[in-house]
Amino acid sequence: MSVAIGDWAACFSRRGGSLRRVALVTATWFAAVGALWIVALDLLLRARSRDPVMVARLESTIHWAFILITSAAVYTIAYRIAVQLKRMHDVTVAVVESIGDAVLVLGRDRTIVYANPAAARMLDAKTETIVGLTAAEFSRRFLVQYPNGMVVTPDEFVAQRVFTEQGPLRYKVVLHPTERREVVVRSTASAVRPRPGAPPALVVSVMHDVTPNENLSRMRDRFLSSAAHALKTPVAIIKANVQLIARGEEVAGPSFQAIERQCARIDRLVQNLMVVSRARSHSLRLHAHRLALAQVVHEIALEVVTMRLPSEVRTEISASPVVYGDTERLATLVRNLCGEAIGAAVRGSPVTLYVSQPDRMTAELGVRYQPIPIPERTFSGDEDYDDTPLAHCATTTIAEAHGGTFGEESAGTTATLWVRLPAIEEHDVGA
Amino acid sequence: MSAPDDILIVDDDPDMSDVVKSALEAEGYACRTVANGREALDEVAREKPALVLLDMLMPVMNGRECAHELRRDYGASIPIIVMTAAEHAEARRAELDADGVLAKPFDLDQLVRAVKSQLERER
Repeated sequence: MSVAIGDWAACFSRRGGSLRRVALVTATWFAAVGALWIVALDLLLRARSRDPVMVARLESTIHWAFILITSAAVYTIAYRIAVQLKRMHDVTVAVVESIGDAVLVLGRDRTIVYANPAAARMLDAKTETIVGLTAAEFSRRFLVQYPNGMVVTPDEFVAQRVFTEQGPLRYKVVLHPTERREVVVRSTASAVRPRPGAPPALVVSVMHDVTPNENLSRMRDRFLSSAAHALKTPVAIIKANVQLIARGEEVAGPSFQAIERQCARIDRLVQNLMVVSRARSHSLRLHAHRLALAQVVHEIALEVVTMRLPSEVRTEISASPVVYGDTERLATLVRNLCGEAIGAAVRGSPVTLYVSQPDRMTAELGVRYQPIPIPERTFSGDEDYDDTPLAHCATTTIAEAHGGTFGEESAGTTATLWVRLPAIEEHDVGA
Repeated sequence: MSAPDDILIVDDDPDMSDVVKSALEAEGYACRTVANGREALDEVAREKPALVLLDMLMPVMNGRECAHELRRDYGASIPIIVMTAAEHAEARRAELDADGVLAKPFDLDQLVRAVKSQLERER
């Protein structure tokens, strides 16, 4: 750090003009006062005494006193300057070390001469192991990549390029502090030059961690990608049925019903996309009014009966709570619960849509089903696209927009997906 | 007259299975349908089909797992055509060691052509 601060201080020689003037004025004053002191005392001594020996002794004593006083003055000034410099050094170090972003300082030899604690945390390494690294060593240690996966060669590091190019330079890269952890950073490198046009004495590289934003952005892209792919299956079914009808090889009735079912599937997907995208843009609006939850569940149960489902859908209405809600959004929520349960249930086992009121202030709706045992269930990985995560996200969003919560639990061979909403008490009615 | 080729359609969406079945039966093939990979393996064990049309995303056992099990137990003796909504369908086919691939949404003509040419190759 002392090397870095020393070089840093040299950079302030741009302000050397004014500093030199101060030094010159101080020295001139010092010389003037000294000269005045010698001349004045000389005249005074010669006026008071005629004895040359006495005059010489007194002059010698006075000059020693002068040396003593000036030494004391120089000591005081030097001490104060040292204290000021130390304070500036401490403040500078404290400021750099308190910065939340990672700061790396590179010296003239292009190696790292300083790393702040945030850099050590970000890179999951001790400061001592970071200091001294060359660009090639840094590249090997942290496998630096562009977000598209291309490796960033050491020559392409902004902290290296800024030694020869006009800065500041910026880019976004992915670092790998450990095998399993990656950090996406927005990095800015600036050259610190002793004077304009001079080669950089130092390069300061600041790395801002944008991993959470990047993850959010990737999740959104994945949602869109998953929705786009989930649309392909219903479109495939509609297209094939239209072709069958056109050929006249199929009785049109079943084909029309299949088309109708797949249109409803597309509609549900689009509704979920709208809910999620509006929630993300903070523009989700509810057209809320008093409604009986049992009625919404009952209507969806009637609707799903017309579909060809691998499970029988039953209803169990043990209470009739009234909530303040948006009928259309709650209908989407119930369809999602039902769809998710059917997808995860043992084929042929019943799925039960229920409404209950656990307490005066809470209305609950949900779905109970017998889940496929985990050892028998295989997951899709990335080989195809499923709209379940999108439906799950939309359900959570709708529940929370109504002041409620969405959860799941399992007991024995039964799993439950539930949504709890605030129930309207009788005295609130009409409020 | 020889018995029609027997095709096993593996898809959890009955609307998809039905439309594929109708199109193939109109071409003279005999079709069986099952809803997931596990049922497909049971059905193949019961009676080996001439060809398997395999969806990818299914509960219980997905298409990837099913394709691996079929290859492990029967080698290349059962041709597999994968039906997928994924991007890079051809890469998916190679990855699963399948004989053919149909990228959704596909034409019925494409389906029939793929099945016909695969079965002819097997003869």
